[in-house]
Amino acid sequence: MNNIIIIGAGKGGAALLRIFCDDKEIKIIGIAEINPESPALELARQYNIPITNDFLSLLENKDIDAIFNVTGSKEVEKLLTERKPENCEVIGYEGSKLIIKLIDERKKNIQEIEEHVKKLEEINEKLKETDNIKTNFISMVSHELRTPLTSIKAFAEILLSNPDEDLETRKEFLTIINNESDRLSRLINDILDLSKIEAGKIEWKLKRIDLGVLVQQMLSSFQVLASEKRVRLEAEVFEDIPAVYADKDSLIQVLTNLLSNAIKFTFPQGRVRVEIKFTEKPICGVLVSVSDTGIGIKEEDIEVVFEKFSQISSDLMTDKPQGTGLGLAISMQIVTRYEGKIWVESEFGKGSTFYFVIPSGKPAKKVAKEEVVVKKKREEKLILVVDDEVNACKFLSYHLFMKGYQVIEAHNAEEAIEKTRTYLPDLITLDVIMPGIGGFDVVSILKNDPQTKDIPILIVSIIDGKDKGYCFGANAHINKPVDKSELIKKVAVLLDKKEKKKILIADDDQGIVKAIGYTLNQKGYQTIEAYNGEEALNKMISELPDLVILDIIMPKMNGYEVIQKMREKPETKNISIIVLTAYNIKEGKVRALSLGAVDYFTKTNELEYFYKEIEEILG
Amino acid sequence: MKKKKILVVDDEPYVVRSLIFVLKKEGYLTVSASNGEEALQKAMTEEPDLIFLDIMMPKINGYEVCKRLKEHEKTKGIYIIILTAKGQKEDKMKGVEVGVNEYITKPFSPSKVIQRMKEIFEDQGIC
Repeated sequence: MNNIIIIGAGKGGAALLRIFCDDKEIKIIGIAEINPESPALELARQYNIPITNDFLSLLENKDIDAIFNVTGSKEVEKLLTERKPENCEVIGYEGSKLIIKLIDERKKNIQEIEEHVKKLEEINEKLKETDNIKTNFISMVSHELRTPLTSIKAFAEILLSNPDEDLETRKEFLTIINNESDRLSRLINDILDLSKIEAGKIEWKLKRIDLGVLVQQMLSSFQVLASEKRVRLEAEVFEDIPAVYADKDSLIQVLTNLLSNAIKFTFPQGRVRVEIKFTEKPICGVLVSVSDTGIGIKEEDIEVVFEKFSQISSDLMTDKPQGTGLGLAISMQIVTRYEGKIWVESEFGKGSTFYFVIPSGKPAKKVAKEEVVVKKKREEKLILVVDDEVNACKFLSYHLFMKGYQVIEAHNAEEAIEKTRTYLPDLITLDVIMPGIGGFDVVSILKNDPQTKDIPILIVSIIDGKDKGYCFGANAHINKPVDKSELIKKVAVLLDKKEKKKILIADDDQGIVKAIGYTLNQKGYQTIEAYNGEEALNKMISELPDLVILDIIMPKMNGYEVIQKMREKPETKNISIIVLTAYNIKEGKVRALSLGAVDYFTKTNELEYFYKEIEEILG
Repeated sequence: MKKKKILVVDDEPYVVRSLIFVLKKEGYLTVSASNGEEALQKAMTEEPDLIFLDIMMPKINGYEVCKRLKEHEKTKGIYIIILTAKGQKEDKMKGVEVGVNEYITKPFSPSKVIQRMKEIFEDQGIC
């Protein structure tokens, strides 16, 4: 403890009082001032510090450690230096100012430190909370994992100690072990998924997604599940739904959870309905609702359905639900990740509706695409999509449109023919099963009209009508349900082909392939390369070349076999083939031509004739 | 000697199935319940000698079932073995408070559980 006295109760005195009054290390013995009006005196009274007008009287106390002279008077200073007790410091005006400044700074620092400490304490509290949540989660996880493990362990032991049990019983127990193992792996997967999402460790590939199309695609697989349970599954996609930007797999996960729950909790003869529309409430975005006529959720349970492991059991359920109790928690995490909303409305015993909204822009005003196309000089390729099923049509149009093509639609054969003649599209995708005039008739009519015969036609069909289609002159074929990437690829191939004739060069001698390729490119042809027979055959199917230059002696499959195999496939059987080989014997030539090659050249020949022949074949 | 009657309570049907199977093999009479409410009712009507009781069950949980049984004159003497996946110390303490006689953590070995049960009956016979 340091004892001090202050001489002078002006501004300096006031500052010293303020600084020292709450300092436990300092005791202010007294303050001296001759002017009773001085501002610091009021302060001194508040702090109960003795006041005097005779500063020398204060010096009678021998325990003084320091005297602060803030009078600025030399005379006072002189007297103090003479009369101060031993070991006592006299600090003048400047010195006092410095001390005040230093202490002020220290106080500020302390204050800052205290603030930091407070913040750290708050963070620590939050961490503790998170830690608690984690601990609870782990304890719940361990409980959930132990449950199936218990049955596995129990029945394994029973089987081991009762080897003479009858076959039926053994089978029953093994089935339980098997099912419970599956349940265990599902649990582990879901737990990993959830913790990855929560830790932000999942890589999201954000893409433009049409939720309407996505739901349509998913519905067919759920149709099976629904019909097994004799539940009616229906969907309605409203018009003008804007695209959302999201990770497709994550949306599939949410939809899968909601759809499988809905089907699971609905009784036979019940109904599950999916609706997709644009909404502005509670947030602007695409709203998906999945409603069922199932068991419903009690009011008190509604709050917890999105919590982890919160499976609600009900008297109405004969079996315990087989899920992991994490599906909705995962869905919640995913939707929240997109700043979307997910919620449920339910009436116990009557059914539930789960909603989620993924934020999006407002729907674009419908543009009369067809008119735009006609008026505008066409820059993008125009594709006519023909399908009597509106949703299938939408699906194709959407994906083609997203790829940058202009798209027009026709919903029956008459419309298809009329639109082809009016707009002369660059490509037509054609469903072959339509009411009235069928797709094959459309192919036949268009391919026999000089004005439209060169428009490539891609047959899109559920029936395997390849042969018939190719007979009428269709150029390619794709099966329903349509795989998006296959569609895009086939369309691109067909459009390329229309621009430039495409030649496949198949030879295991890389030098020859490159040399011929170079010359053909110079002549304005597109070339594709294959270095063995198998590759040649695969590329014929995927790239649909107009001509193939084929070597005979190649690894994996020789040239003869390639010709034989391609002639068996309807899509490749009309492709022209020129054999180019070092195998210069008459029998080889005869064999190749008899299998269907157009011509036969040996590599030592003058290649001039060879190129001339190519130009002739491709016209 | 009169055959002992055992009540198995668990909302997991397979757990019930496995215990009932081994108990029957050993010649015990068995009763089962799949929730707390049913457990209380069967404990009253069936008067079992011992109860295997799960904790995490819908409606009335195992602790509550145990508490009510131990409070009731007719059922307070029934030996209660908790079978639970919650093996934490705090959970066991909670069990002690409501009068649980024994605690077995899942997953368990059915034969060991039966072994332990036999020992209990032997001890009771001596007393």
